[in-house]
Amino acid sequence: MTFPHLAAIDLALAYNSEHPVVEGLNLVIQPGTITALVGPNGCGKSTLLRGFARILKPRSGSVELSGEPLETMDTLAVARKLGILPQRPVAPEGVTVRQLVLLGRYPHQNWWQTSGTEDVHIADAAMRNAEVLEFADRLVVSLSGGQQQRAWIAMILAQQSSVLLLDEPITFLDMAHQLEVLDLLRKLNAEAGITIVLVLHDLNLAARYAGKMILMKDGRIAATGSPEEVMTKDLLLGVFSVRCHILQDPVTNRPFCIPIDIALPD
Amino acid sequence: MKRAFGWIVLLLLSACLLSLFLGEYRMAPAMVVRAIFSHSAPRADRFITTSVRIPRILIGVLTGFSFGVSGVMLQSLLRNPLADPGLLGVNDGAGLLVTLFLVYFPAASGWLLPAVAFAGAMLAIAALLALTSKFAFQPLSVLLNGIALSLGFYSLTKIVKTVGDWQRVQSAIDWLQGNLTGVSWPQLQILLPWFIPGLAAALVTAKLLDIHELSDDSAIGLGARLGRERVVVLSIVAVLSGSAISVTGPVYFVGFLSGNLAQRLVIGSKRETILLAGFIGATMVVLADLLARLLIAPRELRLFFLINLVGAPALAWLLISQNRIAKLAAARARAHGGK
Repeated sequence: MTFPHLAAIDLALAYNSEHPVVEGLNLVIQPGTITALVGPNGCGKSTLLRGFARILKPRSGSVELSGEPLETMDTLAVARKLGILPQRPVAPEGVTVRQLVLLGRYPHQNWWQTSGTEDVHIADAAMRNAEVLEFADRLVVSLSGGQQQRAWIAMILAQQSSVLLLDEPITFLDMAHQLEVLDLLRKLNAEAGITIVLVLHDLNLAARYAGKMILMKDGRIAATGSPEEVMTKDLLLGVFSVRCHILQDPVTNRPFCIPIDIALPD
Repeated sequence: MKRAFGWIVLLLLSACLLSLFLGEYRMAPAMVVRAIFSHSAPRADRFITTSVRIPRILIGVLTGFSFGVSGVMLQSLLRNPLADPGLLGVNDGAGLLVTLFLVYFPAASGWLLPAVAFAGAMLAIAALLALTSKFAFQPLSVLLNGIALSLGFYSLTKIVKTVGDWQRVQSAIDWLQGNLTGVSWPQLQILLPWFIPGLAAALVTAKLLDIHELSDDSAIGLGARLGRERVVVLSIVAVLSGSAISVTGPVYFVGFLSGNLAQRLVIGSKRETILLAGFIGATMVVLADLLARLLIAPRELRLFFLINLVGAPALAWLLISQNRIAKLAAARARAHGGK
């Protein structure tokens, strides 16, 4: 498998006619890594992910996949390389896990084709991988939050794309379900070399799971690098205006922050 | 699911058979068979069977099928169980253009009627898209705009009826009744060239609906071209419901009811749901038409009174449960403070 790499070139993103949320942004996502986009509310991290996912068209600049601008590529060809899990996805009421996962085969089918045996096999493998095969014939809406999220991940796995973009995939989940989803993503990254880009709110979980962190503020990149490079007192103070202690996570030896207080402006 | 199909098809066949036998002029099965196959049958029998009842039943099947299919397509595309050609202004858009046509171009051929109704349906759908796309097709915004459009088109139709030549207006009023009185083979011939390609296109594009039904973002992620595909699907809806409306007059609730029923009965692909909704719609129209002929015979009820009797409370029930869902979603969004 070749690993397409995703890059933003002088990218500006905006909603409607508003002032750009993201501006003049240059970034290359390292293939085969887990990259976490972090930063305060409204910093543009979800917007950037939506730009990468071609949900939001660039105001200027471009997003490139292996050197080709997304806008000039066939969107189905993009879908075969790039899988997207939006914020809080909602499955239609009468849809089972298997049906949802089979929809991931859509970009591989002709306009008249329906799912054949090969698609069914790939969907089964995706469900096994995401550990939802036992729920295959249950309605998605009847599952717990973590199980639903894993069903959606199985859908984008069935897409057989090598880059996954996930917008806050664990925000509404409890602690156990959060670990369940993140462990799954780490496994996919380690075993299949899938590139993962995800927006996370929890800095400590980001530092624990991501190989690379991108810290954003006001639509620009404030810092990028390994968790050790990004999770520093000064950077967190500058970006969040919060004074922190940085400790070492005793489980993973990654940096771990404990907020002290909000730094008042002088 | 297979069972649901079996039952509905059985129900439809029984409704069709009953419609052959029953009516103001009651015929025993043997008489009907003889009227169809034997030239020696009484002329009245032959006329009622082959020129009145059979075409009327077939037209009921085709129009009901069209409304049912349109209902599911709109409901999936707009992610809105309340969607129905009638509730979104499509009926009244078609109604306005057909009335204008009947009042100001009475000499033109009846063959043009489905084209005119299609144009009206497209007009209504285009207006709805323009009004609601900004709000990302939120269910309530779509419904409210659809109702506003309906009322707008309805009022314009009223004005045309008031200022137009009364004799010509009368033919428009007959059409606006919403029933199948007096239809025969010519109407069936007019309908078929719209129905067959419309249904084929609906079945082919069904897989688009599976994708669009998820959410804009997920659909884009799977490679959907939202704008273009929406126009394609809505055009198919306009072909099917427009041509059906051109024969029946404005009909409400058939798409809404059969769409929701089919979505609940089928756990499967949209293609199956579309077919099932078609059969349910056909059954509803044939049954309602039969009752409309029987209940106050020798006079005929407007068949869609009967469907509205079922449709209105069902819509109210769905609105109440939707409202509850919307409130929950709003509360959740507030609790988490958006992005």
